[in-house]
Amino acid sequence: MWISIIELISFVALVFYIIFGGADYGAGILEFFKPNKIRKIDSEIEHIITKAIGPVWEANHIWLILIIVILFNGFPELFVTLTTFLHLPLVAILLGIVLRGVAFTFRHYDIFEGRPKTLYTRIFSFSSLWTSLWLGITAGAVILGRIDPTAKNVYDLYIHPWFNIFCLSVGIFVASLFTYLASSFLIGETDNQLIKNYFRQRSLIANIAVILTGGAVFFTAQYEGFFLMSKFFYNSFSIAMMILATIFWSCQEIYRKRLTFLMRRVLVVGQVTFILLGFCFIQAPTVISTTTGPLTMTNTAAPEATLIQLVVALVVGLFLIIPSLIYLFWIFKFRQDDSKI
Amino acid sequence: MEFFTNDLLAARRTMAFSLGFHIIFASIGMVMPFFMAASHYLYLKTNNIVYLKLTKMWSKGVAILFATGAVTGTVLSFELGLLWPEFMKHAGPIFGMPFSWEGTAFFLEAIAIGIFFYGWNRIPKWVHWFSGLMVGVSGLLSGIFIVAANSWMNTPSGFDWVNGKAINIDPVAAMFNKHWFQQALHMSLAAFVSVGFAVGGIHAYFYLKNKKTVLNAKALKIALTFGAIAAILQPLSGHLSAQKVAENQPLKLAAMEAHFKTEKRASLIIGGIPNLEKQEVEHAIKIPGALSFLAFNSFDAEVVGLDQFPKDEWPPVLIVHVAFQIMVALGSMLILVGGIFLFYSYRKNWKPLPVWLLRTLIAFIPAGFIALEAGWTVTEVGRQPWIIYNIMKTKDAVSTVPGLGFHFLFFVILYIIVGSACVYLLYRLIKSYQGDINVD
Ligand code: HDD
Ligand code: HEM
Ligand code: HEM
Repeated sequence: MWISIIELISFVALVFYIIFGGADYGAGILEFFKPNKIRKIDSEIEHIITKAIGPVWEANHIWLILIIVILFNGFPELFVTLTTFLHLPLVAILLGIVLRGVAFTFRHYDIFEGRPKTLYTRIFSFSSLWTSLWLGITAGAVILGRIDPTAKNVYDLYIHPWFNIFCLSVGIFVASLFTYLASSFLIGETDNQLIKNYFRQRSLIANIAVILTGGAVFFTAQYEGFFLMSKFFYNSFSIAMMILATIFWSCQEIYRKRLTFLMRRVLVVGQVTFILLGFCFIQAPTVISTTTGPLTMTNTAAPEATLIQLVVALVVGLFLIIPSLIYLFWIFKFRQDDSKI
Repeated sequence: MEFFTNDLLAARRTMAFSLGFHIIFASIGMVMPFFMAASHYLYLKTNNIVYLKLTKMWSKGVAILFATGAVTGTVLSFELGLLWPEFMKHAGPIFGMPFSWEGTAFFLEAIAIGIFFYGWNRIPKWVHWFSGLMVGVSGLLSGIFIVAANSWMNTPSGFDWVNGKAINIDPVAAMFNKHWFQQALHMSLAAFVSVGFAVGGIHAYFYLKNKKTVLNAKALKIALTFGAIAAILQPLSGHLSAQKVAENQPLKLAAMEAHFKTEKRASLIIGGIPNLEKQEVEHAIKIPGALSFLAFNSFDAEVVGLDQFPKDEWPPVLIVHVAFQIMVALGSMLILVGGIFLFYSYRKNWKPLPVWLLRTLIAFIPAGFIALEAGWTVTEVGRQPWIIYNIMKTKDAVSTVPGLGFHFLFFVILYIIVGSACVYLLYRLIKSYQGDINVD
């Protein structure tokens, strides 16, 4: 029972990280792909993005830390498998997290305009893209099942599990998903019609990218000899989730001009959550697939005393965190902006 | 270079470097919110615009440093697994409890930070003030939790070690291990000392340079009041720590003191260089009986020396001894400077601080942080060769991933760039606030 509770909480944390943390990455990716011709509204866009993610990015980032802590406390074997065999992608993620966090903050707080600011923007936007790609590559490696604890040489142990076209396409898929989230959320952050339209258009492009790269994930899996497609079609839960995601997506597209910004957010969040659920149902209960068998939360769990303590800490923690988080989002996301920052 | 051939060494250096870097930002994140809350409180009470300006200036600086603390902390939580998988496999379930509570503290801290930094004029002013205070409270809590995890490595408890495996795990007993309270107290005070003196000194510098502006005078007073009081309490707490070490890690105590031979009425050694060949300390001042007294409250108590232990279990005596001397020496000087500061700032007929005192304060800008890093060196290097004291050796915990030397080099370069950028930004920030008293 303890394990199921933790599984649930971990899944929720993962979804929150992908939705909120992901949207923060997506905002950076949007800046990365910003066309040159919109110079006029350039600084305005930057301002909106800063205003939108400034108050919340630190909090959104903690979901990741929560996942790490759950893993190393309750399921050390999972944690250690990741950090050993996916050492390189994880270091790449860390590089991205460090550069992104500091560049974003420096850009906001350096009081002088000019050259350094452009540099911070470049670093921020590039490292957002970079981190998203590597997060996806890591996720791909986790499900692909090429992690091989019995391998003998460096390449097979530490590079082969993630260095392939399937993982790369998961990376691109994740980056598109993040961009989609960000652009959909950002529409509601401004009253300027010009910019609203800009984000609308970006959200449409990103949405198409999500669908195309999602397809690519299945094809590259097939190419790598990993039969994701059949796994998917034999799993009625996954199919149900994909249908729900499609419904949410269609509502969103059909009513795109008339949606209140809250409704749009609900639809987008629903769509993304269902996509994730779909993937999770294919994989569950396995967390990491390896050549020596699947690692699940059950077969890697720490002794019961640890799990009980972990559940207590998480549940008490969430009781403190959720209201504060709601307050934070209420102040900055759902209230009329009655002052300048 | 040795780093590229010796992965154990590279992993240890990486850990030391990333922790040594993170702790600077973490301390600031734990302490600055209290300074800001003090200044913010004074503003709300007196309506003196200088305090508002000070609060805003500090909060901008803290935002920069806090982000750096958050990202380097994230690196650390991965690094525990990236560098020490064998350790985490066994230790995770035992000492994970403080980490799981720390998660909550981080969350509250990050939320409060968002509310405080961006909430000016958006929420009721006392709620806003309270959010600022909460940043400090949850920061302090996260520091205490994580230090409890570290003290478990020094005085492991809450499990039985049978045939290389932990059984009968009791996470609560592990968290409240023998040393947690002393270490948490000492670390919390250390954060106040280091940040208080650093911030106070920096404002002393700008005060002297910029014709004695009020902003700097107020800033100096807030920061150093905290810092000086903590500095006076610090040796008492250090003494409690030392007694715990004497009780539970006699070998570490012997290394700190370079105490080679077991003896009653052991003398306290001040300064000097341990000579490992001759097993004695050269050029040192010795106070007979003082070590016995400090460790066991009795001048005649027997203090175990290094001679009681096999040589291959000794930590690097020279490093541990010198680091300990540095911490204690700086600690003693900081009491003195702190005491003088309190005397001059809070005497009856207030007069501006004398220039020589301001100059001294400038000289002491890095002192607290040096003591803090030295103290951690004592604790961590003094635990060697163990990663979990008397249970698991560091060499058995290290990752099998090859080329950790590159990992080390990579993070050193990254952190040097990030660190320099931080310093540069802060300097420009403070400078921009040195003009006339306009609040932006
Ligand atoms: C501003 C910093 C600072 C100052 C002035 C002092 N310390 Fe300290 N000391 C630390 C900062 C520190 C630290 C970095 O925070 C450590 C490392 C681990 C810990 O818990 O605190 C530490 C550890 C530490 C330990 C080892 C604990 C262990 O290994 O578990 C002892 C015995 C002392 N200290 C004793 C003292 C004494 C007797 C001081 C008298 C002046 C003193 N410290 C001043
Ligand atoms: C932030 C303050 C800290 C500093 C400055 C610090 C410093 C160091 C140093 C210098 C080493 C290298 C020792 C050597 O190889 O000779 C080290 C090792 C290590 N520290 Fe700490 N430490 C700190 C806090 C912590 C905490 C809170 C933890 C864990 C909860 C921790 C876990 C470790 C581990 C796992 C190693 C590697 C194994 C070992 O060398 O024993 N440290 N640290
Ligand atoms: C192995 C050791 C450590 C790990 C794994 C670690 C992990 C982390 C993580 C993940 C964060 C980011 C949280 C956020 O985004 O707010 C963080 C920040 C922080 N850490 Fe550490 N940490 C370690 C050592 C320490 C030590 C020794 C202290 C203090 C005694 C400390 C105090 C803090 C504080 C106060 C913050 C808040 C952020 C800030 O103020 O900059 N940490 N740490």
